[in-house]
Amino acid sequence: MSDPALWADVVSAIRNADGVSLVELPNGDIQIARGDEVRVLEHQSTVSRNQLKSIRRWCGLNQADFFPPGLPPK
Amino acid sequence: MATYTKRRAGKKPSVAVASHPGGAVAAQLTEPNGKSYVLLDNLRVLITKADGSWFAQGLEIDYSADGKTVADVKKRFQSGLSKTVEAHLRVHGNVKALLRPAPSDVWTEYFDAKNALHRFGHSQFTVSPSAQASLPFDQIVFVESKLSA
Repeated sequence: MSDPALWADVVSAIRNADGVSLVELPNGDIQIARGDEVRVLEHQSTVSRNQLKSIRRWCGLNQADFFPPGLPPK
Repeated sequence: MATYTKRRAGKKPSVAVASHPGGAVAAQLTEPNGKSYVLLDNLRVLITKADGSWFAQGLEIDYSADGKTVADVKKRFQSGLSKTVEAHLRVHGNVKALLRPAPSDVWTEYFDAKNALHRFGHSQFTVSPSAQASLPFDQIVFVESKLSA
């Protein structure tokens, strides 16, 4: 069992990712874009490891350079 | 998705269709006034549970969502994918860039778990960016993996 990442930490990490643009929508959702790929993630309080893995993939990042505080790699 | 083919143009509505060997189909109909509708048919979604939450991962389209329950993760996947389709229509005018499958490790998990899967209902999913945020998806196959903790 492990703690999920906090949404705010994940958003912060995405914002700092190279080549990725992030738009925070008025309803709290986020839109992330990299190259021609765009994805909208609905706001949630926490983000699971599985979802974090997907987000890393979408953002072209690896585990080492994208891990929000509080969610160390397994 | 294997192909993305535009079938008609001009004053009539144009239709672009992409299909996957597994049976998934994506179709976009664009009216002459620019309004688009997208149909995603027979998408497979792997649903697993780990670390106390449910996770839905699309196979033919690499989109995923978290949820507190199976029903919640389905709802979040549907609405999040609907918003993503709308975003692609706003930015690109089409969903071509969205039609990329999940990576091989996700597919491996799907096939490894195949004998322990539940299939949920089929439905149809249509999006019109201006008229409706999301409609019921009726042809997405949700798959729950019992192998996950």
